[in-house]
Amino acid sequence: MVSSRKYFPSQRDSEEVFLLLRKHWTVYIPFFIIAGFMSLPLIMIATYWIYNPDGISYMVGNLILIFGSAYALFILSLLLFGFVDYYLDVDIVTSQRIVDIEQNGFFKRKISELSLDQVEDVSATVNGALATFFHYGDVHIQTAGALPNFVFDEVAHPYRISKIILDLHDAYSKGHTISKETVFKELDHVPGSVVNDEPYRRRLPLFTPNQDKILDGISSDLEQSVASGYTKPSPSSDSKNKDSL
Amino acid sequence: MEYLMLFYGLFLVAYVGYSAVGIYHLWRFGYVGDATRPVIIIYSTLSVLIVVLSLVLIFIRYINAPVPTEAIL
Repeated sequence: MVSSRKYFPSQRDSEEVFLLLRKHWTVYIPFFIIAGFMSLPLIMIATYWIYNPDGISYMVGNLILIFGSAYALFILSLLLFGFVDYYLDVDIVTSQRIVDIEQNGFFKRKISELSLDQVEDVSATVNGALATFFHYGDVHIQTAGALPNFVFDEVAHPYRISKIILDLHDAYSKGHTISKETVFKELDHVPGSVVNDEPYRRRLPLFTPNQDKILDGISSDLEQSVASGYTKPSPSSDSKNKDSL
Repeated sequence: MEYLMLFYGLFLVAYVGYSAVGIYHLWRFGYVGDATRPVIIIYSTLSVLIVVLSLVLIFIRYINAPVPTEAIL
């Protein structure tokens, strides 16, 4: 299991992970539907056997047991394959870059990285009734030069995520050292951003349990910084605080 | 019946290998606190349950198998 301190192989010690995104859970639903349909013959045969125990001969019964068991295990293995393919696709936004980890089946894993200063434009698209209803879509990150563009496929709250990435890019390109405190200041106004604000976290199912751990870490750091003299900027003193960053 | 059991045994060997690869991926690339560990536990439990249940049922049926006519004569 990957250490709670490192989220991808090349993560630096000074690098903070702000967002850890996976595809929306509805993406995995088709696997359950297919598995459900595939299970129907098994359920029908089992039901028939239960109500007609003498209707099936000894040899046919053994055949049903062995092939039925193998078939059930096959369905289970399909669900595992789908889960690995779905759940290990992870998009990570850190204080320095964007990381796209793509898992295709069991034996193909691709990790692409993009520095925050190479972000040119970020757009979000929500396509289809299901995506509109469940608030998920694609986030397209256009890169500078000949670098391939990044796409976060079917992530929850794509508009908010694109805004967060743009804000991080702005802060990074202005030369601000992006620390937890900086993100707190820069992204305070963005719903769903990494802020020390409990109501946000309760309202938005954007963060994974792991993300919560990161947020807890940010919260404790912020508490320490507040204790050591740092105070949350008020709107009137915002420009003054930005100058001091 | 022996051939059927042989087929089942070979299938189980392949299944265990396949499952080991899948579970390894979840264990290796999952993060602390995410859903990979519960999925590993649920998948393993269901797999063992299906195999054990089928073997127990086959064994019970084997014990209570109808005696061949030649043996009675």
